[in-house]
Order: sequence, then C-alpha cells, then structure tokens
Amino acid sequence: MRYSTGLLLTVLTAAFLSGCAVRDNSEFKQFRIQTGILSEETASNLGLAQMLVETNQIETISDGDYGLLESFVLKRESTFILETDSLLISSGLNAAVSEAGEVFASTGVYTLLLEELTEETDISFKINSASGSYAGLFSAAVAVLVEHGAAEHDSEVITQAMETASPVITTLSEAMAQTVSAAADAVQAAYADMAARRQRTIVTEGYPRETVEELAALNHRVTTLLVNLRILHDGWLALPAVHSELVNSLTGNSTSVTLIILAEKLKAVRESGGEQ
Amino acid sequence: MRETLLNYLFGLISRFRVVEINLLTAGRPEEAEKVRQTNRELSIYRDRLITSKLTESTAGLREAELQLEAVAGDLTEYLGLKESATRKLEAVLEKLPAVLSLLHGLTA
Repeated sequence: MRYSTGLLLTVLTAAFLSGCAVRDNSEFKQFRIQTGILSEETASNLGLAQMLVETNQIETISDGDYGLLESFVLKRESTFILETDSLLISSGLNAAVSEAGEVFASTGVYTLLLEELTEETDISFKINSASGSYAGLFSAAVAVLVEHGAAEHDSEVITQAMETASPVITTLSEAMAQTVSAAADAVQAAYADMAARRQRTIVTEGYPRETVEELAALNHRVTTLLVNLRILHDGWLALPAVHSELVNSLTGNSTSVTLIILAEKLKAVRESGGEQ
Repeated sequence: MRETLLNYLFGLISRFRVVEINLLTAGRPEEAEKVRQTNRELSIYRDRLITSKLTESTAGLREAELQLEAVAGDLTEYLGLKESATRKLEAVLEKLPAVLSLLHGLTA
C-alpha cells in the first residue's frame, strides 16, 4: 500500500498538530435560536406598546383634547400623498417597529448562514475504507476541496465575515436597545395620559368602582410591559459579547476541519487496510 | 441630554397632575382646567422628544440592516462555493468503489 508521501505527511501533521478536533457547531445553533427568540419577544412587546399608544390616541380624540386633535389632521404632502402629523408618537413607533421587523429578518438570515457554514460536513465519512489503497484518488478529492478554497480557508472566510459583522452587530444592538427604550417611553407617556383621564373621572364622579378597577388593571399591564421591555433592552445589549465569543471559538479552531477529518480517515484506513 | 429633559418633563407633568386632582377635590374646576391645559402643552413636548428618539433609532436600525445584508450576501456566495465543491467531491467519491473494483480486477 502506498500513499503519496507528501500528502500523507501534510495531513498527518495537521492531524497531530490539532489533535482530534471535530467541529461542534452547537454554539452557533444556540446563537441562532436565541436571537430568534429575542426577535420574536421584541416584536410582540413592541406590538403591545403600539396598541397602548393607539388606545391612548383614541381616548384623546373622544376626550376632545384640542391640541392632540390637531395632530390627527392629515397634511396634504403632494397630489398623491397624505401625511399624518409627525408629532404623533405612533407614526414614529410604527416606522421603528416595521424597521425592527426588517432587522429581525436579516439577523435571521445571518445566523442561519453561520449555522450552515459551521456544520461539520460528512464528506470524509463517505470514503470507502477499501479505497484507502489508492492515494491518487484521494489527492484528486482533496484537490477539488483546495481548488474551491473549502479546505484551507474554511474557518478563515467565516471568521473574516464575522469580524466584518462585529461592528454591525454592535450598531444593531444599540439601535434595537434604543428602539425598545423609546417604546418604553411611549408606553409611559400613554400611561401618564390614560391614568390622568381616569383619575380625573374618579375624583369628579365620586370614586366609581369600575374606573378605579380599570386604573389598577392598566397599571398592572403597563408595569409588566415595562419589565419585559427592560429585559429585552438588556438582552439586545448583551448580543455583541456573544457574537465575539463565537468569533473566538472559530479562530481557536482554525486548522481546516475537513482536512483533519480526511487525515483521520486515512490513518484509520491505513491501519485497517493491511489486508488489502 | 434628551433623557434628562424627558425625565424632567415626566416628573413635571405628574406633579401638575397631582395639583389638578387636588384643585378638583377642593371644588375649583376652572383652575383645575388651566392646569390641565398646561399639562397638555407639556405632553406635546414630551411626545415630540419621544418621537425624535424613535426616528433616530429607526435610522440606526436601517443602517445596521443594510450592512448586515452585505455580510450575509458574501456568506451566501461562499456557501454556494462550498456546496458546489462538496457536490464535486461526492461525485468523485461515488465513482471510487466502481473504479477500485475495476482496478482490483485488473491487478488480480
């Protein structure tokens, strides 16, 4: 049995240098799942914030609050466009929520790509052990990998992409944290108006039970929403650190995994293929 | 700066609200109405600040999203290269057993 000496030396050296390194991409899977959950929860809580702000606006109209009624007059922007007054919180919140949706989608794509690219390929496990005798065919197989940069530059390409993405992830998390914080402000503003309205009713109509209960329920709802928004705010700010950890885990394992797996297989085949 | 101003406004509005409620309880509705008007003005400024904060964060999100899409585009291209390399390799490996038995036959 003969192997191309050069190839064998290279792959065995790679194997000995890095030990039996088999890539485990479970951290990347976790990253994808957790960013997915963060996005979903943020979307649903932003939705709740939006509903509260809209309820406040409707109550404002029926209350006859003049100053805010003004902002409901649609401004004619041109022949074909009507625009709501931009002083309205809810149009700002609408735009932020819809942009957040786009961000969630691109984050989903990015994390999915990371998961797929870091998954162990089972190329080498398809090697028939009886074929170990024929070094030339192995060389052809490895050459194909090298030609497409999939063998030597595997981790490098992904690491570089992630390093480019790191500052983007930071910008993204800061912007998301600010959006969540602004939504919390909007919730507090809506609550301030709605609570004032109910307190006025309570005082002028001699403490009607229904209104008092309504106010208590509103307070409870808003408190829960604010707590959730706080948790999400901190969650988004923690994202860049998790992303850096992943980059480190990748660079710490930088020798090509595919080559290593092939090397191990070659070794196993050599040991078992004596009877060929 | 904006946060400080916002906190101040929230505090002011809530203190005025207490004053309004006290005036209503004390049976002075016209003065209560004046306080309510003041609060309305303050609320408009408060809402303006919040809207500006939202506009800023929305711009930040848009910027990040575009950059992330660019990175994802590069990764998608690389994934494509890797997949075509894998397919070529699999094609080579599939032929191995047949080639080997042929060679076995020849060398037997």
